[in-house]
Amino acid sequence: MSLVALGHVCAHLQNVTRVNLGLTSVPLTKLHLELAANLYQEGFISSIQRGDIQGPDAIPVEITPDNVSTRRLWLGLKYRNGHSVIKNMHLVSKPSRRMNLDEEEIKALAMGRQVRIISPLQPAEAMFVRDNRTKKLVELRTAARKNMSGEVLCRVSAQ
Amino acid sequence: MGKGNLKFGGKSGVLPPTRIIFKQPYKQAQIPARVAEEGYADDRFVPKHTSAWPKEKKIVSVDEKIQKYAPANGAAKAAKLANLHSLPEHEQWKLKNTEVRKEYYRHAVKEEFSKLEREEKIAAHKQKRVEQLKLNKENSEDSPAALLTLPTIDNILNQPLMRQRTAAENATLKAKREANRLHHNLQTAEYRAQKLLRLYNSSDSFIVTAEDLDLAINKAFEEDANLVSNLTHSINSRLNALNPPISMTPCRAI
Repeated sequence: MSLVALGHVCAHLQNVTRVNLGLTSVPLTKLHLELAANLYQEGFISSIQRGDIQGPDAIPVEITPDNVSTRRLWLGLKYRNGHSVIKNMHLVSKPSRRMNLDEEEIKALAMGRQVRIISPLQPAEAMFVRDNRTKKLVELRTAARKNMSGEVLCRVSAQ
Repeated sequence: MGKGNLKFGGKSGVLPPTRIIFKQPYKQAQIPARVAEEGYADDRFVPKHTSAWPKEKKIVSVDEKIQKYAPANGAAKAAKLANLHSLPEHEQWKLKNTEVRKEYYRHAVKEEFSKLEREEKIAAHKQKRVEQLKLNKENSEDSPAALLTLPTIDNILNQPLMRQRTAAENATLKAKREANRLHHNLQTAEYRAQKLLRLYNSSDSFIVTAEDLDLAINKAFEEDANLVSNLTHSINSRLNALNPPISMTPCRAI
């Protein structure tokens, strides 16, 4: 699966926080939904809503082949003291340089060591790993706790 | 590091490494099952003095080992042992030594076998425990915060994101597409028919024979002649109607 769309989402979220938008939308896919859920869990965004290109849904709408092209995921962005919570967000594994880490490397990264070219995890930072076994997106520390191995997709840091 | 026995931690002597009693596998379970992909693909390409398949190892059981190296005494030896006191002393010692060695050997082999089995059991148990721990880690439950905050999203992620069309919807869509196709075909056919009708109606005035052509030429020229004569007649009549007639003298320049 290409990471181009995820790269666009990371860049988009970083851009919208720099112009102080309150709400933004990204294409609705499972990977983006997983990323949004993880961002929400880690406290980087304030809300997740399903919607279409016009805006969030007032009443729930089922996704069908007829409306799938217009469906979007609306994310509420978080600000604190006039500053955006998300400061930087970018891909780690790229289509031209995949970063698949084994269990030991994931643990080392979570413990604050540099792994290959991935710089150590800083405070107020989160990295998201796609588990090789279940193909689910999880936070790096959870992956280390659960003894997972996988691809480090992106990292996001707060102010 | 010092010299001499200091190298060995000040011990007066170092024992040789212990010899393995069971060099060969002692039971079938120790031999790994043959893998189908192992060996050479084609027997013709097997190098000389080698085998396409790994050499099969012979299983030497405990009883075989004892039978080979410490067999039970035969009838002659048993008789000798029965009349041990009648034998010379050195022979008595020799027989006794042999018996003791044999007994120790049997004991050692049996002990080693039970030890190996015990170790195997412990290793299997350890392996099982490691695997279980790994499994527990992998299946460890999420924190209550994770479980209680995003149940809906988890539910969405476990299901297909998009609902596929039902059979009825598919049938409706198919009928709609068919109706569109028929409508488009009808429109095209109507347009073509209109064009054909227009052509048919206008074909009455088409010149298709030599006679028609002559007729058309004559008609055209006659019409033109009539028009010219009509025009000249009208101009003359108008000129004559003017009274007094217009003087044709040029105007004096001012």
